[in-house]
Amino acid sequence: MANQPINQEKQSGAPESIVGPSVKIEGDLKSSGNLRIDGIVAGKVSTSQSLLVGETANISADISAENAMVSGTIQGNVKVLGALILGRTAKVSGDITCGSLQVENGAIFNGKCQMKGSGSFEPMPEKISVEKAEKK
Amino acid sequence: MYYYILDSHNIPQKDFERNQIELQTLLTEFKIHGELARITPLRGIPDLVDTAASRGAKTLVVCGTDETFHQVLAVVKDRDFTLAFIPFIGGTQLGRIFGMDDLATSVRTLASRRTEKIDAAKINGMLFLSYLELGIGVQTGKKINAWSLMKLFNNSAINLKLRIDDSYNISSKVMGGLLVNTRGTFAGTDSAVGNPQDSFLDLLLIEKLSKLSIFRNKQAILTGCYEKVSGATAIRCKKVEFLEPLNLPVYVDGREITRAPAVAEILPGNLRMIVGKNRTF
Repeated sequence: MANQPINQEKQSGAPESIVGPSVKIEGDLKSSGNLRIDGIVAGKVSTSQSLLVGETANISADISAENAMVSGTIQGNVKVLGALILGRTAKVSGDITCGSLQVENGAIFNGKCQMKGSGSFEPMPEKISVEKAEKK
Repeated sequence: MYYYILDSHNIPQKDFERNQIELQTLLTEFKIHGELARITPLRGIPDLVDTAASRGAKTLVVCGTDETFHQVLAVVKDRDFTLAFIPFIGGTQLGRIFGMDDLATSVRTLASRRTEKIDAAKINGMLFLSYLELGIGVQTGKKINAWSLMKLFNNSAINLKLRIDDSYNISSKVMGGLLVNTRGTFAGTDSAVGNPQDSFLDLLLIEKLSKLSIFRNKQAILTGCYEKVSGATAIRCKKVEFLEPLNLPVYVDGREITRAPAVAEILPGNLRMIVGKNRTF
């Protein structure tokens, strides 16, 4: 994934900023456009648009983005307003807050997950116990 | 009033004289009045720019090469001129960027006077319009074959350390890089990189590549379109501090202008330029 040509990105459009696999970033990385990370980042990552974390990426930072597709390693909390996709090679250790979540088979996720806008919902009535009561 | 600064440096004498006559003819034809002044050993660019200002010239037209324009830009600084560029040789980088490819087109554009506000950038106090070059970035726009390019990639990588936007540090082993305000590429106008009206600089870094990758991406490397190369880094920013290695030379148009440590930053909408319809932005 990391070595795929940049223009093949379909999930989040063409990234305006790309952090290559050999690049190490320390500090607060802020972007106003689409962002792709294939390198190492320590600090904070935030973008008002889409974030793509490549397979070779290793991020030790809290992340916030509009939408995100993760295929690399993240140690930190992830806050996504829209859709978050954890690819099969994703490793996330931290809490997730997102609008919608898709986890592919093989992804590793350790942490709490909170879906935005889910509100409170009524648990489904226990069908079995009702049926048993009817029989009695 | 238009004030024309003519530079014969790096231009064959015959060509310069022919261009000068053609320029005067075209200016008369298009009724663009102004004063022509030639750079001489006794009257350098600072003198001529001062003269232009004292005579109330509003438009400064630089006739010569990319180097002439960069020298004028360094002298103009904060003075309120509208600038224009007329190339006296073919294949100039700035001519391509501004859509002023040849003398006739340039004068026609000058007559129609389409002005655009564009970003300037500065490094250690020196203004530049195009891009800074590091390492193999110096080869941008040059015509070299694939084998020569592969040889250049055999050189040792640069352990580059930069600070971006006073916010984060980047460290990477790179073969070269560009810090682009605008580029006269061949890449077309579909690229978001190198727009001189977006108030951003684009930092492009390229790392060591395999021979196959060099061969495949030769065109992108030599046109400075690193963002099209797999594994390259492209970052939009407003300020870049070149921290390490110390004494790393930084070039503009193949000419060394400073060495690290250095600070480069964008100056949004700092310049008023007369541009042609074939400009690259």
